[in-house]
Amino acid sequence: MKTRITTRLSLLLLSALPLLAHGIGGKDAAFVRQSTGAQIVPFIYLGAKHMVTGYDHLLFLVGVIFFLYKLKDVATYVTCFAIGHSVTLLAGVLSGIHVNPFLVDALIGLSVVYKGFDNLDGFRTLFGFQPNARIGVLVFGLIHGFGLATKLQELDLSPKGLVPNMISFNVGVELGQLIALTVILFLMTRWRKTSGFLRHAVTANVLLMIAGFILMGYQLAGYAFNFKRIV
Amino acid sequence: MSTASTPTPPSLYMPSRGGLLARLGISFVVAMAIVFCAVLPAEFHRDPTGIGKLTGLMALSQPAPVDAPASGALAPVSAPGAELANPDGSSKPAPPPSAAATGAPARFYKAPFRSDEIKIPMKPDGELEYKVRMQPGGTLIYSWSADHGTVYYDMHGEKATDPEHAQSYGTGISAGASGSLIAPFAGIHGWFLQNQEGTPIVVTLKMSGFYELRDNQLPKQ
Repeated sequence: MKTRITTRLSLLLLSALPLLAHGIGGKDAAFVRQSTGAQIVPFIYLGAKHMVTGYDHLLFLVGVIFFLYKLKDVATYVTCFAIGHSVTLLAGVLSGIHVNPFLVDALIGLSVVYKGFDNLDGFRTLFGFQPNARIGVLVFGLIHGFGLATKLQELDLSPKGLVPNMISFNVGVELGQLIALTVILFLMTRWRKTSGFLRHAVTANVLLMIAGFILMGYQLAGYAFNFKRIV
Repeated sequence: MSTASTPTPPSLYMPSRGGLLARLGISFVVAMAIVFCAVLPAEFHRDPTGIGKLTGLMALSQPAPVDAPASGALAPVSAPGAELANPDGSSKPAPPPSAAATGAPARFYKAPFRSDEIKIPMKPDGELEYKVRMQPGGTLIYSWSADHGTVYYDMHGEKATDPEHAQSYGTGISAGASGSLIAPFAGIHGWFLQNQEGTPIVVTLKMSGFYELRDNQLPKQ
C-alpha cells in the first residue's frame, strides 16, 4: 500500500515534469519503464552510469579534488558528498518533493563555479574569509541529490519495487562516484607532478568557472523557455 | 576552516584581488557569450545575436512539435496513388512534412478502417502490454475502462526499426481513459497496463481507426 501511495505521488509529479538534458534516456528509460519489481543490479548500474557520464558531476569532482593532496581529505569529501546526496535523493523520491530540474541543474552549474572560484582562493581574497569546505560539499551534495531525485522521478518508475530500486540507484551513484574519483585522482596526481601544474592551475580553474557558468546559463535558459523534450 | 579539508592553495600563484575579479568577470562574459551565441540557438532555437542563423546553429533546434507527428508522417493524400507508407515498415525516406501538412484538419487513408472491442483480463496486481501496429500518421481513437478499481497505464509507442526505444505518450493511474493517437512513426503503439487492485479486473478497450491488431498479446483463457 505504501508503495502505491508513493507511486501516486510520483505520478502526480511526473505529469508536470519537463524532461531535460542530462536525464536517463534511450533504452535505459525503456528498460526502466518495462521493468517492474526489484531490479537491484540494473539500477545500481544506472546510478553508476549516471554519475560517470554526467559532465556536471565530473566537473564538480575535478574542482573539489583539485587541491586535495591527501587521500584522507578525499575520503572526507566523499563522505560529505555521499551523505548530502543520499539524504535528498531518498527524501526527494519518497516524499515526492519536486524541485524544478532546471533550477537544480543550474545550481549544480553554480557549484562548479563555486569550486573554481574557491580554488583560486577567491573567498579569502575578495571577502576575507574561507568557507568551510566540508559544509560546502555537503550543501552541494544535497543539491546534487535533489537533481538525482528529479531524474529518477523522470523515469516512469514502476510502482513495484520502488524503494529497493531507488536505494540501488543511490548505491550505484556512490560506486560511479568512486570510479570517477579514482580516474580523476589518478590523472590529477600525474598532472600535479609536472612542473607546469601550478602555472596552469589558475587557467584550469578559470576554465572550470566558465564551464560552470555555461551550465548555469544553459539550464536557466531551459527554465526560462520552459523547454520540453521528448525522450 | 581546518587544514584537513581546506588545504591552502599555494598563494604564490594565486591571483590578486584585481586579477581575481578580472578572471571572474572574464569567465562570466565568455560563458554568457557562448550561451547566447551557441547554446541558445542550438538548443532552444532562440537567436538573440543573429549568430545562430549565420552559422547554421539554428538548424540544430528546428522546433519539433511534441504532439504532432514527426518526419515521415503521412501527409494528406494530395497526389493520386499516394499510399499509407510501406506496409513492411521498410524505410522509404518520406519528405519532411510541411507545417501545412502536419496541421491539416483532414487526413485521408487508403488503409481499411476498422473498429475493435478488446476484453483484457488482468490478474490481481497483474500487468501486461497491449499494442497495435500503425503506420506513421495513422489515426486511432480509443476509450478504455476497467470494470472496477484503477489501472496504472503508460501509453507509448516503439519504432518497428528500433523496438528498444519506447516513446511515452502519457502515464497515469485511472479507471479509464479516452482519446486519440496519431502515430508519430511506424511501429507498435499502445498501453502498458498494471492492475492496481488485489482482485482480478477486466479492462475493456474500444478502438477505431487505421491500425492492425497483433496476435498473442492477451493471456490464454
